[in-house]
Amino acid sequence: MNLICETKLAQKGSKKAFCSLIQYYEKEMYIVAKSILHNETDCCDAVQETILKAFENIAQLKQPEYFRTWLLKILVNNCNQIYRKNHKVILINEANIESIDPDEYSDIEARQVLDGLEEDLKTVVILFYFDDLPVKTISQVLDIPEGTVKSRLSRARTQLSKILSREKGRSYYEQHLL
Amino acid sequence: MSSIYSDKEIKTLLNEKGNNINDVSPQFHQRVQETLFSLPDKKRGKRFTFAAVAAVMVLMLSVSGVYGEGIIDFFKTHIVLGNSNEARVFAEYSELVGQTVSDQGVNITIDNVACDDNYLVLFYTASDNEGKTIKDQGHILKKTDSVLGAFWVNDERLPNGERDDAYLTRDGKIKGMLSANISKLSLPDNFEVNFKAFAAMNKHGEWDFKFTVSKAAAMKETRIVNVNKEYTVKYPDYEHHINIEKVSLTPFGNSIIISEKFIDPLPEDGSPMHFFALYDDKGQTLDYTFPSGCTHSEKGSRISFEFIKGSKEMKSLKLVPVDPHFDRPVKGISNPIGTLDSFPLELKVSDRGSVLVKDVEFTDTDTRIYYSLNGYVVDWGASGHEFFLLDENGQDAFKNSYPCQWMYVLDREKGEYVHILPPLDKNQDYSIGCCIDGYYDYLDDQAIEIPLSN
Repeated sequence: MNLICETKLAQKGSKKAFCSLIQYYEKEMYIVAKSILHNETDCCDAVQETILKAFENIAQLKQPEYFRTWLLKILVNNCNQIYRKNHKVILINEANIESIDPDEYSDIEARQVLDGLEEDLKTVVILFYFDDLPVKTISQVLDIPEGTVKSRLSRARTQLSKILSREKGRSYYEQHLL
Repeated sequence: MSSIYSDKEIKTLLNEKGNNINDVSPQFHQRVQETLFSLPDKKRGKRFTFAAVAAVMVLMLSVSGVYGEGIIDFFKTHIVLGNSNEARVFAEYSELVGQTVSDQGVNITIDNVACDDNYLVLFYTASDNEGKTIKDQGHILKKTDSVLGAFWVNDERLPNGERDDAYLTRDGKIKGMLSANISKLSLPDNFEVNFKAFAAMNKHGEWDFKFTVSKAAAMKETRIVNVNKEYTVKYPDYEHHINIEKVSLTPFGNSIIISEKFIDPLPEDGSPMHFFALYDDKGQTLDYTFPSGCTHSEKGSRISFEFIKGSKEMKSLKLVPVDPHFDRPVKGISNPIGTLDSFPLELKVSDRGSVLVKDVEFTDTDTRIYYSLNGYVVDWGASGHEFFLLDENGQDAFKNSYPCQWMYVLDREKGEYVHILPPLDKNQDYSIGCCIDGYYDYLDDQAIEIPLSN
């Protein structure tokens, strides 16, 4: 899909083009919303507001090539609003992990890793390592200085290294020493 | 002691943990689909309250005594469409329903319903039964202030139509219109409809309606031509294998249904053919919308395109495939600008198309641009085209902010539109311009003649 063309068409009012763009970024929006809100219903509410707001205002986007950044920024703002409204307190401990189907083990592993991070680092990690966004774009999406993004990534690297080392070591142990 | 991993190592290790974190939950996916489905097919912009009703001077409309009789409530207090041809057409073919359902403190009444072979349209009134009104936010009626819902026939959800509209009345009620596109279905003259609203006046709830609809009266003024002819349209790098299935000329609007089988080589974006110029038997270009009710799978598509202008008696259509290049500059044409000294004012937007501005009206509550399209102008139905107004100093009258705009079709037979912008200082002189469409290659050598004899 030619994203810039599709964005320009959407800006002209094409609902089809707008729907194509949203569907293209659906997974990405899910990942970002989940990293902030966790609760499925809250994620659904956030994405609904995001889609409606984006549809209303897409014509005001001056540079179509930045649609993705702009969309994620709206989503993050909506997620933060819901988060603040619900006063959610995320406990960083094993109790957060839902009972799982063994087939979802690898999913839980990834989420366990992320849940081991401090809150302000999770979204940056998702955007950088899963969405492959550069630092500058992350700073625009989250509306924070680039320096803050870099320092959060640095802290995240340290924490992730510890978590992943433990996992790697345990896996090696499980594979070779049990 | 663990070392600090590099970004590449972290990314690899995270991805080894499994990619299931990327899987969208069914609940999330459903909400996305519901929200997209509920979006109107034209952009919703600023709406204007019925605070000051002036006599609406609309050009080129034939006014008859019939207009005052039978005109349905929705149009009676509509500040733009009150005396339009649209109001006349729906008055002629609508029926009273008068069903009311209440939920979450909101009453929704379906006042009227109208149906032809292409469209099912209902007109409603929504009110808060505690007398609360929607907050007037500077003439903006947000989508969530109106009624959102879907139509079902025989347990099948119908695609959204092109006619969604809503406004705030003096007494704080919402009057609205919702539609479904039924052009791709084969329905009998009389059938049962289930309309389910899931949101109204900023509240989620369930408002369920069942009623019978008749299109028998409209069918008397309808021509349906089953074409069923296959063509292969060749573009430089890909092909479209299409079947022109049906042309339907009805009171509420005309449609041409084109299906397509996806066979390699496909266009880079995988989209079906939807850029073409359409002409009647007199060589007049017909205006058509981008598809509504698009069915697009991996194997193909089936799209109903609405087109307007042209007479119901026309003997044929001609379809000329178009290859658009929006990122290419149009040679010899820049954004056209003209003064408001005399009308019509022609603004050329492509090498084969122009916008004809018939009048610009400055009222206390809005600025109205009346226009029609000449030749090939893409996407008339969605944004209503991007007009801009320059003040006496040549500066954007809206200060480079894209003014939220609303477009109405005033007359589908003649192809006349009005574009609504925020109010401006009437004492200033303005120039008007619009953005050029883009560069197109017309594949005239692959023009398709479609005879309309049954």
